[in-house]
Amino acid sequence: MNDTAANRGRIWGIGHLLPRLMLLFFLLDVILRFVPVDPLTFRAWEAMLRHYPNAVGPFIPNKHYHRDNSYGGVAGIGSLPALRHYHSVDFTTDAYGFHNPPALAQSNPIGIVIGDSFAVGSELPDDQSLSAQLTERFGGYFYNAGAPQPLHLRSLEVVAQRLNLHRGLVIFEFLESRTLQDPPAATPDGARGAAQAFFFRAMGPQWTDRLGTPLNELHASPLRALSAKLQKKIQDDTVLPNSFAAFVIQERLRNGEPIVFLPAEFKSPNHPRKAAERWAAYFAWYSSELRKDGLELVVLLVPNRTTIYAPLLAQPRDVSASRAALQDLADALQNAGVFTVPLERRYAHDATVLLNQEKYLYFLDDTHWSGDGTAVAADEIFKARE
Amino acid sequence: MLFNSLVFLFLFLPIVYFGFWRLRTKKQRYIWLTGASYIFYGTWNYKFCALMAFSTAVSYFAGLGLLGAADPRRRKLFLIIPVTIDLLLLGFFKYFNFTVSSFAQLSAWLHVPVHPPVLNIILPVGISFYTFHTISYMVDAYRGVITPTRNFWEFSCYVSLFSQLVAGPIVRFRQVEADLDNLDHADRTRWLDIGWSFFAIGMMKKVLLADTIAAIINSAWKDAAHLSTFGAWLCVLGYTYQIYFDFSGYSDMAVGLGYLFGIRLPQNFNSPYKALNISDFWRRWHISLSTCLRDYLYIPLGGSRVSANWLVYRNLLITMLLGGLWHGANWTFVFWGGYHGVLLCLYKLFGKFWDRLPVALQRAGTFFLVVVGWVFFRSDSFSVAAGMLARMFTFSTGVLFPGLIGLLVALAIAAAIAHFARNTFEMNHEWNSWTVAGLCLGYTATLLAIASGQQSPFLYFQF
Repeated sequence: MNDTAANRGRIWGIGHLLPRLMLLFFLLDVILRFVPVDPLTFRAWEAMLRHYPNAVGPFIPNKHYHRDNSYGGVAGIGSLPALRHYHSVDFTTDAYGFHNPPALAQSNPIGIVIGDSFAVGSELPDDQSLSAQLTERFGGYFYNAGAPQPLHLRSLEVVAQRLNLHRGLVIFEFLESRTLQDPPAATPDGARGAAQAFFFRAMGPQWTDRLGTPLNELHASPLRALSAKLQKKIQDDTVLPNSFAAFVIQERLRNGEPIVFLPAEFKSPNHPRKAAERWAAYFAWYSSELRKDGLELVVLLVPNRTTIYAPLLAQPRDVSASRAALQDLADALQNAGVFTVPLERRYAHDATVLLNQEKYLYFLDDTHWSGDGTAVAADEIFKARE
Repeated sequence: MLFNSLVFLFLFLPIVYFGFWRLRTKKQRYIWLTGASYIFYGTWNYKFCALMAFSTAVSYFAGLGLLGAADPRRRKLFLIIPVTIDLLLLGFFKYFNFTVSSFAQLSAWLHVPVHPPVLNIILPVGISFYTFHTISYMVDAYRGVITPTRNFWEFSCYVSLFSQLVAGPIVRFRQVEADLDNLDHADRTRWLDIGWSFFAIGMMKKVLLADTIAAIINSAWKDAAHLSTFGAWLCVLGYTYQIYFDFSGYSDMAVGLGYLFGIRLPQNFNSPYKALNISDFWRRWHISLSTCLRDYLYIPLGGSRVSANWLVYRNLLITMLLGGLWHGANWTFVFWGGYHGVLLCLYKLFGKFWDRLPVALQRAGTFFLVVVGWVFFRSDSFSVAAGMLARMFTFSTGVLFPGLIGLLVALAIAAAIAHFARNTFEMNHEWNSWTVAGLCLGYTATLLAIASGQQSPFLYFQF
């Protein structure tokens, strides 16, 4: 009898319960990773991005994401609900995992858009991405091959082959902040890339996805996301101070609207001339390689949000260095024979005009451009090509 | 690697724990714990593992030397040389830049500006703690208090034991010698409950109380010049409880982890905010440090058994000034030590009067004096400390900082525990089902807080 009581005491003892609680917590974390994360996300990026090595497309193929109350990532990082601008978002991917809604897709494309999240059309409805706007203006289909990092040349060639594109345009959306980095090497994929390519060829895309999907699900921890959400709820500046606000810079435009930036958005290269020369050399090489395949490169120079809106703040900031760096880059590209469409002047003009109408070329709570921004960019490209 | 991190809780600890209990012999267990501790330490900066290994080897061979030497002069050499090496290492890593910049400031003040080089030195985590481990070992061996061990792995396990490696308690070899000697006969289940109980309570103290308070007051300290009188007091009180729950929480976790591996570590905090006078406070606060300072500094200086009263005060002041300096290379720490030294001297002088005051008044008075001292301890410079004290002791209106509700709730809970509850060493750790449920709930909240990715390091890691 005593032994039984002693055993019961042991089983319910803290030394037995707490390790089991930890084990439970661990198992819960693992199990929850197999539950879709969509309900926990407020924008498409986190829900759609593939985290396993994939042949070309960066997103989960043939998936549609819709949310009525999406908002900008910077307001999310800073946990600033008052500064959110809610908007509807649709994000549809094609069979290769690129952001191309079937409704807009056409056979025989006349061009491909590559670049980073701007080219992807992050935060935008399907029909307002740059490729969709270009399709509307040119009357021919532009395939959206935007990815978190602009596609390497070899990957772009694979996309072009799949699309059967032997003549046409490649629009390279190039964001100003990318000048802070060095251009990728001429053969960027190296031994690892070659091994990956061999693996994909051997496995085939279906098996790659079959193996990769569970890895993808394991990548994100809903338990962690929920805990972070809970932290953000409690840190409301009343119960607890909002420690997340330190990650963003809160400003106000001269029309009174609040706008939030990431500190990284204000960074400029230390040696803009050298950066411009390096990138010009890279694009000259990229362009010449594409020409061999019958494709023509157009580099779209997109200024940072700060370069356009910092002068329009209630307390304006000097952006002459950024403007000069963009000009250097545009000059270097043109001298290298690369067809370039710089957006800075048109954007600066339009942003000033639209400010009074409370329209903006970029989101006020996110780093990305808005539908108005992509429309202006598509106009500029169209005009330049005419 | 922090105790309050997922990688420690879900990877490191289970592997080390189950690996340890799978091993049978003493030697295997010493090696296992030493290896695990070096991995634990190496996660901060693997390069400093060599420094700790060097310090361990020097002290181990010094111990062997003391074991074999009978000649007093040789014995003295076996003490002085390794202690000097240890102190030089500590001095270089912790105090070189401080000394150089202080010298530069002094020379500028004397209108003879010099610009000595400032080195880019990274302070190895926990160097103050393991240096005290090794020094106490050698001094105790020299004094004949302990018999130095011949087993290198036992000694390196003692120096590097991960549970108390980076922030104490400062464990003396004699305090753990018996448990280390019996490591092969340790019973896994004997201290399982008490070990987890200590660990969980320590974790909750750190994550739920100390970190919550820190999240509110840290930004307020940065903006101290604009605080109101009320805000300044809340801020300083917040820090008073933050440092207590942070450090005592760490110590509880260290003790709990020690129990899980069959090693009993000493008590480091004995409800210091219940102290009746400043002398009592130092018997309750960071006990392992204050006893080290007493045994290895104050008593060798003569302690209170000296011919003249002023020598006692001198000894107290030297001990406390060096105790302050031990905490960090900044004059504010030295001042804090000196402040407590002066308070101890005053208590020596007027203790008889103080002790006649009502107990509640003694407690409140001691607490008040300790709180004022924390202003210097927390401030990066004297100007910040002076600004905060000015805000506290003159009426000023100013901004109240965000998170006031959270701070008031946290302070109320913290005060109730610190002033009225039993501490972890006074508890019997035999919980009924309700308290077990409460502990589990609290521990779950702690795990969730850790999972959110907002862990903060322990305050005493910087010392």
